[in-house]
Amino acid sequence: MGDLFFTVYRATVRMAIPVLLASIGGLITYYAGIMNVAMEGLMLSGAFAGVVFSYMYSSALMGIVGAVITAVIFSLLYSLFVTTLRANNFAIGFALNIFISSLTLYLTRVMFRGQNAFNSPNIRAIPHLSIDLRSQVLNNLFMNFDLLVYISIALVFIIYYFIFKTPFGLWLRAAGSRPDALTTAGIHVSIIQYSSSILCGIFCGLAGAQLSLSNVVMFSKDMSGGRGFVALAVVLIARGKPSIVLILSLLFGLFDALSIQLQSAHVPSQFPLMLPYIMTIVSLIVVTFVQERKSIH
Amino acid sequence: MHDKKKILSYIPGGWILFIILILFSWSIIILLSGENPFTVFYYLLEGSVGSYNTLFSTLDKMVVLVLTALAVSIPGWAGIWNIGGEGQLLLGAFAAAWLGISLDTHFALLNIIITLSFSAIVGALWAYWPALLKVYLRVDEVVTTLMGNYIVSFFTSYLVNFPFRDPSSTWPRTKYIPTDFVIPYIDHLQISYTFLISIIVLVYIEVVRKRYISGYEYNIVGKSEMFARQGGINVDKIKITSMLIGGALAGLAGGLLVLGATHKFMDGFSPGYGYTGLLIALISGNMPIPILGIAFVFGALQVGSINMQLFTNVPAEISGVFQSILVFFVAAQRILLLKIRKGMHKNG
Repeated sequence: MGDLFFTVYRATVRMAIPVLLASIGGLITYYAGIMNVAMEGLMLSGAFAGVVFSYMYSSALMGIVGAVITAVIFSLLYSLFVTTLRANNFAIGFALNIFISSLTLYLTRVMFRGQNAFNSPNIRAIPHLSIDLRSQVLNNLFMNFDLLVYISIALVFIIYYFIFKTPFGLWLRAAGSRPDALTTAGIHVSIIQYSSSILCGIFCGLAGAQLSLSNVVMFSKDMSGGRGFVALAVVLIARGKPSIVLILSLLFGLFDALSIQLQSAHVPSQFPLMLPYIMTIVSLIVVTFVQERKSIH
Repeated sequence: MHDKKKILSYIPGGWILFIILILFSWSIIILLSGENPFTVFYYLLEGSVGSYNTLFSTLDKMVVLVLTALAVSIPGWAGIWNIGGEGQLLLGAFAAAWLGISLDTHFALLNIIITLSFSAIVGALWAYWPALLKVYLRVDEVVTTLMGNYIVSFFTSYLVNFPFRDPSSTWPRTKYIPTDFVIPYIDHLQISYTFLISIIVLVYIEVVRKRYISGYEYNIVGKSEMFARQGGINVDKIKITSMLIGGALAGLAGGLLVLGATHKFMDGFSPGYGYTGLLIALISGNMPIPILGIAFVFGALQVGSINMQLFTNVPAEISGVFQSILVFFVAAQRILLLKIRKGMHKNG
């Protein structure tokens, strides 16, 4: 029983991290007044670049750096079209997702002569943190996760502080809710939006690296598997509240972890795989229902 | 000076530059594979509009694109997002394959009509619950329809892997539908009657939009809900109906694919038809005639890229890259053209 608990717990943390990272990215652009539909693609670009750079330089750190830079470039491209050229964000977002999905597949074929996936022993995984805490339980709870897990959890608190306690955070929130007030104060809304976009790219890149350099160590076609969209849903459901983003991401991770457990229990794998998406819809309905109730009273 | 400006605005130089910009971006991607862009463009054109046969193949590819785009557009008129085309199409397609292997009236036309109606109904039902949630509980329909796609994709994958799997095949798929369910090709050309069906649907929708009250009502609801309510229009009903129509069209697209092209349902049935339809609808401003034009270009890219893969080292996946680059520029065309014109005035 204890073993099962720890298996599920550890899988929950691992599966929650990519969604958590991407939804923090989405949270930042949400505050800047951009509904970011491109996170699915940004994550995928990070996953691909992470594998490529880690392979080329035989270094996990270079993989992470490559993933972040690539996702930031695509995120800026998204901003260029949405903020500066004022194109429809759904059109650009979904086009960017399809662009990255086909481009990564195209590059897998052209660069590695692979079919739908690329793996190699030269790809270095993100190292795990293992300090002996002199207790089996504590070790199981806190140790042997990859370094990104600890960094992500630290980032949740840093971002919370950043959004709610710093001047930039104030401008960021104003860019979404009171853009004219920001302009009056002499600050360009578009500069804030671009900065939020860079930050979002960083987080989606990290999320992608976590997918392809830790949870598994390879790249495969469309490996983000809707997690970027789930992150978008998480941001919309939470209406910008970081604590709810954290809870929902963990909940998503839990359902993902349960689905892995159920798959090994001879249930057709498709049903467990549906669970996280059903959970997302159900929590959206519940939160909306509660909010509507509140606004009536 | 004023006259000069006026004359310049009539010269379609902006558009030509605009197209060059798209071709240039495509070329950069092609260069990554070490091929000559001009060679690639040649094979793309040859494979899509180079002969009657390839031209018909292109038109045939348009069927799904037109219907999945309309599936987004009609709810779009009423101001509601249908991102669920992918799931509705998958369910419609599976429904067609299922009916095909389990029911046979021995009258081909009757078989086809029953099956297509069933596909449309199944697609509409899958669009129904997000519409109800949106109208009565204000639950965001973007999230529900999008998440729904993943659920359906796993569900149909289950159906075709377990209860409906044809044991004689290595790849999970259903049995083939009998020949009296198949929608045939027109006179042995590379184009099937499904093309006519999709064109009839499109023309019908365009006529209703332009000539009938109901088309006008949809537009009013989309433009200003409050105005529509005060004008006595049943806004809730129109929103729900528009989603039902959208779902039915995507379901129909799935049914047509099975009866006209694949003759079975298999795992990995859709390479993202629903999302491609979404892109087409978005850059067409939800208008049927532009949808037709852009669906033609997309169809040509998809068909042409198969020919291109045969003769060059460029994999066919590049068509997705080409399509999305096209969307970037068309979606940004208003401001882009403005900037190009401004630049031309400065230099001219």
